[in-house]
Amino acid sequence: MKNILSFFLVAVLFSSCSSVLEEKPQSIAAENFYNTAGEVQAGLNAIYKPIRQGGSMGALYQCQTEIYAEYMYGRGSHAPLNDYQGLDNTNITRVGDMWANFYEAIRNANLVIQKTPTGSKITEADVTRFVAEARFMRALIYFHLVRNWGGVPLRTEANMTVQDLARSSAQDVYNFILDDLTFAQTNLPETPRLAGAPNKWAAKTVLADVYMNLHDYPKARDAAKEVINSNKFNLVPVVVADDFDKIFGPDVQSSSEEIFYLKFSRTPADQGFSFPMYAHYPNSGYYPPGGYYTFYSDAVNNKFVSQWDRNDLRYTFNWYSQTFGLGNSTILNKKFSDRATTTAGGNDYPMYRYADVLLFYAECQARAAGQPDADAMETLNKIHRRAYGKPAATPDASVDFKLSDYASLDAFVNLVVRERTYEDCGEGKHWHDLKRLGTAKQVIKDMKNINMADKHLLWPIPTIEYNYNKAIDPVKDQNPGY
Amino acid sequence: MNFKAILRHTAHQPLWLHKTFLVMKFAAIIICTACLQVSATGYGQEITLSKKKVLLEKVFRAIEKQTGYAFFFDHQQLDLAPPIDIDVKEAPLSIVMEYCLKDLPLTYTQVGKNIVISFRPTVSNHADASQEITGKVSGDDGSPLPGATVVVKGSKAGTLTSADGTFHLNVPPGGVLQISYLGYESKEVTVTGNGPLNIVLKMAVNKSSEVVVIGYGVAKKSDLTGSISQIRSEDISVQPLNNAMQALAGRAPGVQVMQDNGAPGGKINVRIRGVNSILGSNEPLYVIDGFPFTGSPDFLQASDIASMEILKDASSTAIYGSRGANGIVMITTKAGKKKEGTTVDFSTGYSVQSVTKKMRLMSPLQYATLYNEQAKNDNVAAYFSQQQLDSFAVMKGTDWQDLVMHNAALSNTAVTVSGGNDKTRFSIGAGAYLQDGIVRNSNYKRYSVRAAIDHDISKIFSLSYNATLTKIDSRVQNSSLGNRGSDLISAMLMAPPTLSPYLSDGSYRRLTTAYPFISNAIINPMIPINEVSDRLKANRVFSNAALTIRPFEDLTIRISGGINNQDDRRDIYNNIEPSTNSVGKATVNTAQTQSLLNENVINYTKKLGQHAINAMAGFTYQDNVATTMIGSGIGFLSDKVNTGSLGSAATPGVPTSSYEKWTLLSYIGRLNYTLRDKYLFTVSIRRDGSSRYSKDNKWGNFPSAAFAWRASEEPFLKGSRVINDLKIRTSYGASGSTAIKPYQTLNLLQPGTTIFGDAAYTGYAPGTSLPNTLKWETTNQADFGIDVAFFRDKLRLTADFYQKRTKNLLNTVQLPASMGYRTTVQNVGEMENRGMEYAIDVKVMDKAVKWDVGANISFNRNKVVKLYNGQDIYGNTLYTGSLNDYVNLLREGQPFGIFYGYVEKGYTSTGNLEYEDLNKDGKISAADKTYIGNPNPDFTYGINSVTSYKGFELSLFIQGSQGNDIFNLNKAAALDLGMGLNLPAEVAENHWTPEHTDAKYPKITRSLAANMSTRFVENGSYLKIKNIQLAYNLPIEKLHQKWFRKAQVYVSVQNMITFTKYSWYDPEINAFGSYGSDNSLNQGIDYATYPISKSFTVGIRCGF
Repeated sequence: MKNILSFFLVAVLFSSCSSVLEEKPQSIAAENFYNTAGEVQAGLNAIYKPIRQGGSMGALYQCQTEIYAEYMYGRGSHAPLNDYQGLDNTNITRVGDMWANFYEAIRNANLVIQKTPTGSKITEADVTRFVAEARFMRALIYFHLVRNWGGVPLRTEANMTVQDLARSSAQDVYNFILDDLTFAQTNLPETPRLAGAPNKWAAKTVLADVYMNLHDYPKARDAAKEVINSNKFNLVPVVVADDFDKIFGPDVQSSSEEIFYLKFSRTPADQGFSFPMYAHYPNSGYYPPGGYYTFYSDAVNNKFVSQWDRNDLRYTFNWYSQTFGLGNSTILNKKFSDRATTTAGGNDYPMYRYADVLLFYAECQARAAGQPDADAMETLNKIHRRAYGKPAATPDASVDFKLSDYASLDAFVNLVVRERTYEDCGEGKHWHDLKRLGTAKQVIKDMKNINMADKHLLWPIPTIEYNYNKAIDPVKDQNPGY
Repeated sequence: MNFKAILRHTAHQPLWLHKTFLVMKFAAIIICTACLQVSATGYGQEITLSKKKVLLEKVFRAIEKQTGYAFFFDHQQLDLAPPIDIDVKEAPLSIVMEYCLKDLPLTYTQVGKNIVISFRPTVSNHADASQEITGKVSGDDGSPLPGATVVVKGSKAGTLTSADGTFHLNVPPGGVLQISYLGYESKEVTVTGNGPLNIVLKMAVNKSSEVVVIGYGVAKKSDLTGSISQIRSEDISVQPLNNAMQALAGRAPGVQVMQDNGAPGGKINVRIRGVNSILGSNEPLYVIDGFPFTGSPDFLQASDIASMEILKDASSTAIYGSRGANGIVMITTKAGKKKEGTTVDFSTGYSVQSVTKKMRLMSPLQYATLYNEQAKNDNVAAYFSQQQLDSFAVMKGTDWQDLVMHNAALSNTAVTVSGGNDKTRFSIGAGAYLQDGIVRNSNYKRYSVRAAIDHDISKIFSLSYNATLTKIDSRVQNSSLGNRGSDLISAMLMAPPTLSPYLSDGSYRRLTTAYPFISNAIINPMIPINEVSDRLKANRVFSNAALTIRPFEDLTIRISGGINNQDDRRDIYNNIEPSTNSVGKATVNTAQTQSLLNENVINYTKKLGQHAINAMAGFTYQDNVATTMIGSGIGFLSDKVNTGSLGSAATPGVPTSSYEKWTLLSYIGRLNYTLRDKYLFTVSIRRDGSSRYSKDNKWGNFPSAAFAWRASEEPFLKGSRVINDLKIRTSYGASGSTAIKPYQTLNLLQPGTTIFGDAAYTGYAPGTSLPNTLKWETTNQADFGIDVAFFRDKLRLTADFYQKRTKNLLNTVQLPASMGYRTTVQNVGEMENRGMEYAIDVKVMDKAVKWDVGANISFNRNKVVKLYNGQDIYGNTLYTGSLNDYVNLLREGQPFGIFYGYVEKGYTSTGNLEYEDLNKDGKISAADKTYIGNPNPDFTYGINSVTSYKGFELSLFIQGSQGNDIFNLNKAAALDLGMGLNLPAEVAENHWTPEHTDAKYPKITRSLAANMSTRFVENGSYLKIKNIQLAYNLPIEKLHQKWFRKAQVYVSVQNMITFTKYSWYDPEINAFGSYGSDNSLNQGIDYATYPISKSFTVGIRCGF
């Protein structure tokens, strides 16, 4: 009896002490977050992390798109990329990981967009500019998604936790992007929150790019023009080839050309730019920790490179000769090199720089008008002059293109596109140009003599999506050819 | 007694202090309750009794009731006494006792409150030629047996042995003595001379009177209602084991032991009656001397273990509630025994280990020819010139397997000293297990010291304490399951035979640039061996203390506390090495785990005539705090710095740390009731409260009930010459699994670093797992078993039939990547295990040659019964470089982790792989996948044979598994042909060419459309001769040296022969066994794992 009594007493005692079963983790719960400006900024910072990883825009995304260009070849597991027959399993996995990283960043943006307006200790002004930054980032990522995969599921702050979500049409995705960017260009500040966060000019630049992809050239031109007219940006002067390191080099903090860059740093560990690791040959000196020389070109046997004017400082800046068993004219790209690093590159990734805006403007101005004009040609010549070591703003007959030589719209657009190919070589941007212009198949046929398969133009919806998203049928809703 | 004062809540105490008080309060309550009960009972002095024709036993029980005295006697003794009439009033005890025993050869002694009945020393009052003889009774380990019964056969004369095992007895000439002692085989000795007799009794094995350890107590084997297997220390120490749990393999039915790989100190997976959980661990709960231990008890030396009991059915496991679903392994470490003198046992063994098998890989010429063929097929210029081919033809080439692996030494030494007297018993042991791995520069060293002390403070209080201190120092060379030669083991297999490891200047060859076509992931395997050090230093402190209170004979209260402390530090340093562009990289990982346990258990035993009850109740508290801290740095001026100064790194890493805690509160209760020693009933319950579950789901109840019938006690079987023991058991109950990790129901944010400008900023976002509300995972199990012994224990048979059903299965459910979350945890369904287990022990010969054979076999059928929305659950996606898909699948109606993939039907006309288009839609897609293999065996078995003749003893241990498939992903490289990887020689010898279309391997081209398919599924059945040992016991008794008890020398071989059709290193493999550490779905896959070794051992065991 007394046993039972004591057991009973203990039972009473126990239930009153069941607070020991309460979990007290040493970390922050989402429910109590996004209340102060500091917390929301930490939430914003988290948007950048997934896309900066080596598996996405830290390296492999640019490798993927760069190897598709007419002037580049892939090696090792990247070799199938320049077969232009779509992706093999290895590369399907790679782009699947990018998909996951992009959407993780979108989720982090959605959380900021959803939670910030109800934050308890935050000013109205802060709410607006922080939401604008989140919407800018969301739009930017959807822009990359829609160009590579076509229509994708549109995850917004409203349907974040819905498991099954069908693909939206590409048009709907673009409309959504336009909506976000329009909000961002109005509500982002003139000066960015931090170096590497967007300001309103960044929003207008992306807007120009989006309009170009929608073939709405007047709007694209206007957006680009606004950026130019802001007088916030200037081309970095170049006299010798190495001067381009003032734009792309590892020690550059920022330059007058920077519009929207992903920022990297050698320290602390794991925060560097991994792309140089994929670019260089071990012991070449351009990247001391080694290198995979994942992509290469050929100074003689590649048609595009062989025709590249050797007086163009960009040629010297971009390429170095390196043999590794594929012939004596093999060259590797050194646009991003860091000769002093022991870990990863200190270089930043220049997603949008002023040179891009000028070339956007040149093309759009001509297309909107139906033909090139002096304004368009002068804008193009600024880029061209600098590439030959001349002051960008001073007309120079020795290098300038003449309007009369490129009077037709086609001739002029081709000239701009070629200039952009030189200018952006190694930056992973050219493939999107080829797709936007609809010339991808023709150019690859002309330059590499390969017939591109249709399926190569879009990446497959990854298994990690359709296996678990019942609104996407693995056969019917898959991109063609997969 | 003022309970209120004890229970009062003290305000504003620190949490830890509060908890300490909580524990103290529990203890105080128990002691007080116990004392109250004691004083209430009191002691009477005089006896009043009136009965007719009453058995002596009843008289004694009546006296016990009146006086509080306790009687100790042997039933055999009282069987001699006829019923008596008794009528006394307020008589003193001595008078009553004199009266009762007056006509019997019995006498009594009073020790405190205990009355001991014994045989009256026979007085030499006979006229015949009876002579007094003396003798000594001892056990087979040489220790004297006090209190053994010695009876003259056919007479009533008899005596008990004294404390030193000796006896004096009058025996007629030619008389026969019967000697018996509990736990030993009885013996008859004919008295011939008059010299002192030296009688040695053999320890009884497999007798139903043996004691086994159960949850929160011990039980006689004959009283068990549950299904329990026992493994004794002799079986554990018969072969060198780096993890004592390997001794479970093949020795107990229903227990499957798998080695993940052959790395020294590698993980051991133990499965009892199949797998119950997807998300949670399927490892049994290890209970070491009462302490529920999380993880594998690798800190114990095999020599420290006295016995291991495996609790399998719900009636045995339910008492461990939320942690019992996977079965329980009760480990009892060696304790001191009451002995005449102190004994010392010493054993040492030395082994040489080597790889069980070497893979036959391509020669230099085969390699070069094969890749030239690939180049040709892929329209690329030939990689190797004819001149090179000619030179390869006469070149032996680099044997990377020989460079990486070698014969390695293993030594295992242990010493145990034990002894004790009436009040204090002790056992102190020390051991060193030193193993070099067969992969160079890998090793595992374990040193341990342990002590166990039991002390009786008084008749009421006794104290026990044990502590084990273990130091583990291991250099790891493990496989990280790399692709395309990116880690040590895969590089060993895939590095080209045409290349030497070093260049002419002595530097390492950089394999990635050796050929233009070679994989850019492949490493030079000599670099991890020579230039990377990965060293784990671990300290384990495991300590238990218990106070046992026995206020009176039937009641024990045990208050115990335990501490388990683990400190791990792993130092990884990559030397400055130009060929890998390493500038020196140091990482220091530290992990600390601390678990505290308090248990308070009351046990009450009472026998009333035909009724016996045993009741147990208690409550326990356990918590576990795990913390980690990791620091790193890259870029050092000198390798001398190693991990000694992370701060001097050119690029310091961001330090990380973590904290995790769980708490478990439990109430336990169990009642055993035995009617007429024949009908045994057990009911038990445990109520567990776990911190891990969401607020309204924290508590769970785990009840069980069991019934057993000892049919051999029934009149119709009693005295049977065929069946001497028969028991039928049945049980049903529930147990659970704490499958989820702490904080999994909370929505926590993860910190991360990003860069703005050139500086690091912190970001906060949710992790990739979406939190969810979760319920307990519960397994209901029904068991039916029979234990039967024939011909006086010559043949013993145990059979068990069971069915387990796990409800509310927890699992990680994949989410579409577009959600931003990758996974969530849900209660997803139900799983079932049904099975049969048989164990048989036969004494084949028991004369000069002794031969004992034990065998067991178990059949388990696993089925996934129900899944959330009927949706399949996929295993992890496995990436090999060329393949990227999951292999294992959970589907309703199918066994756990079945292989799911494509069926290969041959080759296309161009030699490419061709798969069955099962849905006939004209293309090969995921819809064409089907079941292609099953990692679950049809049955597993073990055979153990011990033959002895004179001093020789030959033991043989065979283990096997039948009907399981292995998914041999190592073969994926043979379809990954653009990477210059070395491959098995048969790829070069037997591949598709237009002339040879019926080939084992397809065309040599990098454009193979490869999938996870039947190509990789192999029969994993095997029969392995695990251990053969020949031992010789030196005839030291001839030396007449009292101090030298025994000496044995032995030679043995482990893993010497394996009968299998499996093509790779060894079929005992589970590469992804610890993949992701808690998802056990990826079963039966072999991929670039550390190979298993065989070994040859010589050693000695002696006792002093």
